[in-house]
Amino acid sequence: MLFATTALAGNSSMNIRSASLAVIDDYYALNADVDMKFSEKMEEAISKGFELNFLIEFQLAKPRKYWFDDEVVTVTHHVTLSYHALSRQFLVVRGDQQKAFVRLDEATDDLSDISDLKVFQKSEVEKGENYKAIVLMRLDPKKLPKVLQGDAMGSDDWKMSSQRFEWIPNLFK
Amino acid sequence: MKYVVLVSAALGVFLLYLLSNASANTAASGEYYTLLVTLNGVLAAFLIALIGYQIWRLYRQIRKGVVGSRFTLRLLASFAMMAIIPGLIVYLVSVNFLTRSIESWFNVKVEAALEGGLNLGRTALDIMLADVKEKGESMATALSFQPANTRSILNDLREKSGIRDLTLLTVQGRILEVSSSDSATFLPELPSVAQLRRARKHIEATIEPIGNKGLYLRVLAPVSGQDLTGEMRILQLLQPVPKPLATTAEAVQDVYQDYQQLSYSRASLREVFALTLTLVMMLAMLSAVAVAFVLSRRLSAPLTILAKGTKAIASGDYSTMLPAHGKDELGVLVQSFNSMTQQLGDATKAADSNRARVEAARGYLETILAHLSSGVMALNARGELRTFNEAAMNILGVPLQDYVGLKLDQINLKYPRCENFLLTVAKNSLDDVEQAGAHKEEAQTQVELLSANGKQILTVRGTRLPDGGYVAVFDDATTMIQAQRDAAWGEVARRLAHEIKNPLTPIQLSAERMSHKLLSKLNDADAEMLRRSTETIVNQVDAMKRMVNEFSDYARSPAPQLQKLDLNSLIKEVASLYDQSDSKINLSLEKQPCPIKGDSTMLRQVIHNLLQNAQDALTDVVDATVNLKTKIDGEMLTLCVQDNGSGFPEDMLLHVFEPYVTTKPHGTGLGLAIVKKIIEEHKGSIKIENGSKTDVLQKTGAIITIKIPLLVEVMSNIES
Repeated sequence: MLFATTALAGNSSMNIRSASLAVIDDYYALNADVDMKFSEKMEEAISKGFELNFLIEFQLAKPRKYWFDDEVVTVTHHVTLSYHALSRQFLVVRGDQQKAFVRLDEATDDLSDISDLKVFQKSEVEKGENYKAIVLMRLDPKKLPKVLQGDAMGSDDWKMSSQRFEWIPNLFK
Repeated sequence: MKYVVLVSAALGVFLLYLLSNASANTAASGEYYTLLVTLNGVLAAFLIALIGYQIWRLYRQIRKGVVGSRFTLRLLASFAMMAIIPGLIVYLVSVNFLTRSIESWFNVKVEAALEGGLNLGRTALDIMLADVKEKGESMATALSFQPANTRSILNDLREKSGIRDLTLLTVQGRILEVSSSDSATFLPELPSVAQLRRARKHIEATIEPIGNKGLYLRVLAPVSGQDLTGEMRILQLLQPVPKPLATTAEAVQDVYQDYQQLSYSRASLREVFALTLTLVMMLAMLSAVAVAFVLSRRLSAPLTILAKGTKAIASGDYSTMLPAHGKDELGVLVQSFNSMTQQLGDATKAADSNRARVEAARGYLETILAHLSSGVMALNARGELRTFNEAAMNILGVPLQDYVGLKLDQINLKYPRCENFLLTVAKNSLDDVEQAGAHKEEAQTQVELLSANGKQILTVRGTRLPDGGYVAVFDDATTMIQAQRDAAWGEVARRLAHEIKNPLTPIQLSAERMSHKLLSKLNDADAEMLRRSTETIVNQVDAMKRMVNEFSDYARSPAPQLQKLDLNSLIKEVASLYDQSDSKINLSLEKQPCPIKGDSTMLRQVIHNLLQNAQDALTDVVDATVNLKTKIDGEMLTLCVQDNGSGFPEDMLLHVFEPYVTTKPHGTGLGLAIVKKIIEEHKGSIKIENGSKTDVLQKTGAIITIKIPLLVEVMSNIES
C-alpha cells in the first residue's frame, strides 16, 4: 500500500491488486492482478529497444510466532518485455511462450495479468497447517544494461517493484 | 602503517582493473558494476581516512617538535605535488576528451542511415506481406464456396501460391485442415486469441518473429462462406521471410536498437565513464599520497636518528652510537657521525682527566700552602691581592678573605697597624716591575709592626711571578729575634756579674780594713770622715753586688719548680707587705679559688716587681692608688695591675720588656724583663699598655695584664 501512495503520477509504478491460488490438476497455480504503469522515460527506453526483465517471486511460508517464518516454497518466474522494431510489435516472453502485441498497453495488460502460473505441487503442503503466501513482482535491475545501472541507481524511473503482497490462502477447500 | 598502505594500494589497483573491465565490457560484468563502484568508493574513503590519520599524526609531531617531522612534511608535499599535478591534468583532459568523444559518436546522419536501413527492411517485409495478404484474400474467396473437403483445395492453393503453410481454423482456433510444404512441422504456429478475434472482421496481416524459427509473415483471412456446421472459418497463411532478407533485416534492427540504446543512455554512459575515471584518479592519487607518506618517513628516518644523536651529544652524552644505516651516503654519514661522537667522547674524557690532574695539583699546593708556617700573599699584575694562606692571616691578624681583589694601600687604609708591612710589599712589587728581568728574589726585608702583644717583627721576601704578579713570603720573626736578644742579654749579664763581682769583695774588705786600722789613729774629725767614706764604699759595693746578683739571677734563670698554688692567696700575702706604703692598694679578686701550676717564689717576685714598679711610678702622685684584679676568663686566669701614675712614654712601650730599659733613674731595667721571662716560663702572656682617662682612676696610668692558664682539673670542677 505504501508503494501505491508514494508512486506519483509520471513515475513508474507497480502494485499488486489481488492474488489467489487455484488448483490445477496436481498443481497449485498463482493468479494475480497487477496494476502496472510505465513512466514516459521507460516507455521511451522500451521503444528504443531495451529489454525489460521482470521477476515474479512467490513464496509459501509457515508462519512462526517468535522466529522467522519457515519457507516451504520459493519460486521465481521470469517475464520479458521487449520491442521488435522490424515488425513494430511488443513481445512478451514467458519461458518459451511468446506473445506479440502491436501496442504497448496491450503488452502491459498481458504482463500485468498473472494467470495459471504453476508455483508448487499439492504434495508440498500438508493438510491442517497454516500457510502464508507472498507474491512480489519487480524489475530485475541486474539484467539492465550497465549504462542504465548507473542511471537506475540514481533515479526512481528504473526502480520498479511492487509491494510484498501477503495473504493467507485457503488451500484445502 | 607501511603494510596497510601497500595492501590498500594493491587492492585499489585490483579493483580498478575490475572496474575498467566492467566499464569496457557492456554486459558481462554489468551486474557487478554497482558493487565494484561501491567497493572502490569504500576503498577511497578508507584511503582518505588513512591519509587524514597520517596528516593528523604528522601535525601532532610537528606541534611537539619531533625531530624530522618538518622534513617529512616537506618531502611529503613534494611527493604529493609530483603525483597530484600530472594526475589531475591527465584526469581533466581525459574527462573532457571522453565527454566530447561520446557526443561525437552520435550524429544525425548515422541515425538517419540506420533508420533508413530499418525502414528498408520494413518496406521489403511490407511488400512481401502485401503479396501474401493478396494471396490470402483470393484463397479465402476460393475457399468460401467450399464448405467441406477442403484438403485437396488447400494443397492445390498452396502449391499454386508458393505459401509454406496453409491452415484452416475455426473462429475458436481449432484446426480444421493443414497443408504444409515443410514436412518437419506437424503442427503449424497458431495465432493468438486476439488475432483470431480481429481476423473475424477483416483480414489480418502481421510480421512475427517466432521463437527459434525466425521471421514469419502471418495472414489471417476470414473465409466468408460457412462450413457444414454453419461456423465461420479463418484461413491462416504462414510464410517464412527468406533467410538472407530476414538475417539482414534482423541485423539492421539489432544495430539500430543498439544505437538507439546507446543514444538513449549516452548521458548515463558519460556518467559511468566519468565516475570510473574519477574513481581511478582518486584511488591512484590517494594511493600515491599514502605511499608518499611512507616514502617520506623512510627518507627522513635516518635524519631523525642523526638529529637524536646530535641532541644527545649536545646534552653531553657521548655514549650513544647510532644504528648502522645501509651503504648509501646516509649510511656513510651515520658512520662518520659515530666516529665523531667517539672522538668527542675520548677528547672529553682526556680533558676531564687533565682537569682532575690539575685539580689534584692545586689541592696539593693549597694543602702545602695552608700548612706552611710562613705567610704567603700573592698579588696580580695590577698589585691587587689574589691569594693568601692561613698563616698570612694569622701573622698579620687581618681577615684577608674580605680584601681579595683590593690593592694593598686600600687594605692599608683599614689596617694602619700593618702599614709598614703592606707598604714594603707594595714597594717591593713595584720595584720589581720597574726592573723587570733583574732577579731580586732573595731580597729580604725586616719590618716592625705594632701589635696588641707588643712589637711584631716580620721578615719579608718576595719574588716576581711569571704572569707579572708578585708573591710575598713572610715570617713572624718576633719570637726568634726576642730569643736572640734575650740570649745576648743573658750572656752580657753573666759576664758583667763575673767580671764586676770579683773585684768587689777585695774592695769592700780593703775599705773595712783601712777603716779598722786607721780609725784609732786619726782625730775625731778625720775619723768621722773616714768612717763615712768607708761606709759609703761598703754601701756602694753592696749595692753593686746586689745589682750584679740581679744580673746574674736574670742570666742564670733557674728552672721553675711548678706546683699547685692559689694565686689569690699569694697576692694577698704579698700585698700585705705594702700596707704601710704611701699608695693605697685595692684588691678585687676573683671569688672562686684560682689554682694554677706555678713556682711560688718566682710568682711572688713577679707581684713584688709589679707593685714596686707601680709604687715607683706613684712617688709624687696625690691619692696614689694601685688596683690589683684577678678574673677567670675561660681557661685563663687574668691578673691586672693598674696604677694612676703617668704611664709609660709612648716610644718605650715597644721595648719595655727588654733588659736595661727603664724609666727610673736608678733602675737596672731588669724588673719587667724578669717578669716577662717568668710569665713565659709559666706559659702565660703579658701585655702592657697605658690606660685612658675614661678609666676608673680618671688618670692615665700603666695597665699590665698577665694571663696564666688555669689548672685543668679545676676547670672540669667549675664546669661540673
